[in-house]
Amino acid sequence: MFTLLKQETYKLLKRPSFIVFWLFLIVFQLAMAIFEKVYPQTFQPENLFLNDFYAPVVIVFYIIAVGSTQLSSENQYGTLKALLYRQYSSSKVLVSKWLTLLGCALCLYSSSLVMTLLLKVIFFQNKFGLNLQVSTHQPIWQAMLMNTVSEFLTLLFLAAFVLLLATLFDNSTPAIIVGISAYFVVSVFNQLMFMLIDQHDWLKWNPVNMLNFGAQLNSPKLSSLTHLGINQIMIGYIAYGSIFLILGLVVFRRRNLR
Amino acid sequence: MLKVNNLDKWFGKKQVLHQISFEIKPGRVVGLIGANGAGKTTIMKTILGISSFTGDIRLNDQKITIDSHDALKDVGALIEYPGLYPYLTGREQLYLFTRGNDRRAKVDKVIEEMHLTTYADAKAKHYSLGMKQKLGIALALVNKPSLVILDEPMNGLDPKATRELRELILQKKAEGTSFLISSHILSELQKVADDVVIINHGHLVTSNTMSAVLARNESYLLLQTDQNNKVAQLLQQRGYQVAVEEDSVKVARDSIQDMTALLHAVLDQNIAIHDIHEQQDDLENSLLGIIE
Repeated sequence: MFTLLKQETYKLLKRPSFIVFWLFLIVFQLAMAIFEKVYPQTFQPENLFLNDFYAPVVIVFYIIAVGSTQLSSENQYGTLKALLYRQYSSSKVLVSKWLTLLGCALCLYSSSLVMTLLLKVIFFQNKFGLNLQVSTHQPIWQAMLMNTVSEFLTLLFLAAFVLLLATLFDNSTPAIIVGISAYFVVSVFNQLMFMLIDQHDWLKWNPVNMLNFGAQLNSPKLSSLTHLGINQIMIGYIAYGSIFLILGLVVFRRRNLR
Repeated sequence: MLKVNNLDKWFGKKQVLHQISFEIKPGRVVGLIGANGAGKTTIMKTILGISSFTGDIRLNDQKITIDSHDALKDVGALIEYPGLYPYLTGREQLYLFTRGNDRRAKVDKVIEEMHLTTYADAKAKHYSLGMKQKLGIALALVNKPSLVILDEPMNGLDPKATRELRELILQKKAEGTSFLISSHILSELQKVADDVVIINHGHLVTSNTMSAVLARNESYLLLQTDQNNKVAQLLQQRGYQVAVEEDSVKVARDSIQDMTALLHAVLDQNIAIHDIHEQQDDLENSLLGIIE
């Protein structure tokens, strides 16, 4: 497995898109900080800091794109077969791709966190301190970290679904469209879903509600809307995520080893 | 080394392989031949654990199934066409899949052996078909496997590269590497293969040594004279098996008991012989003869 992970990481790092995206991410965060300086009425610096200068939104796009195209590009290059006729099982080949994607997401999140702290020091040193108390009665640095963890957990759940879709279709388009749509649908239609859950309690077990796990971890009051306790939503999150990934493994094996 | 026993393969309700059994011994080159759709690539895929089957495939007594690939550690392969990452150079692709401690040395060696030096550091997206094919074969060889499976390895190779590949296969064979090679270029296969497995419509027709398969061929004496039709008639009257072919008379070698008598029969009629040589049927004729 270690060899497979090394190989997948090597391929990812050699893809021109990875370095281009990483640079873009840094520039994007920098641009947000400069934008705030030029147009101070648009954003509050504390909000920018709490949201990692909106890096997680951009990272979601990239991870969904990479996750969706992981298999379709191997098919396109004709390399998938060669990956499978080595000493490794098909499950190991696929899991190594998923773990590499996870590693990639962790790297990008870490990079965005470092950049957030740097931008705070460079641009907003005199605006607020890291120990500033925010509405959740936490120091701002802690709230920012919790927010990042929440975003990361949402991304992981979404990615698990996208990875399942990627195994179902030779074309990456459905996975990209569904993944990105789901991200926005959840943001926009969460309120609508909460109203429906209020009317039909069983709807609280729908997988889209589990996307709120990260947010509920950050803000326990959300349980009144999701109708799930923190343990329940965690179990649902893990169960659905596992189902998506196990289904992905089964589909991948059936499609490629006939 | 590799033992394939009673291999059956179904695609839905259609059976495409029927009780295929053969063996590859260490240091032998086995040619897998048959018409298009005979099942050659399917056999290779089952050996490589990427196609389900019933039966038994063992490499060095270790079982291979679609769920058990451990034995494939010592196998290199190129199936159908070379899969390459367009954004990596040839050297990087080789480095990516090389195992062990001396990875760079292994990569350098195979680049030299396959004559890839001039374009090893160019990205694969700029490669021609032949360059890709050579890199695909290099990928199969880079980890010094004891068994190499090559599906149509001469595809896209120019005559020089074909000869270099043939020489490399023979060199690796001398070092103890076994090969399973399918190719439609039977003249090339005839030059390297020790054994032959012939498949027709998913059935094993024969699994034998190349010399045994070629021994089934007939050999002929070809006479070029100034009166071919007269010679043919004359020899036929004397009991020889004769046919006139383009500009020569073809006499079955088996029907010639005494060469002197045959030559006398022609020369005594004051017929001039311009050329005389012996011709042996090749693997292509053997294959067609066996299949038909």
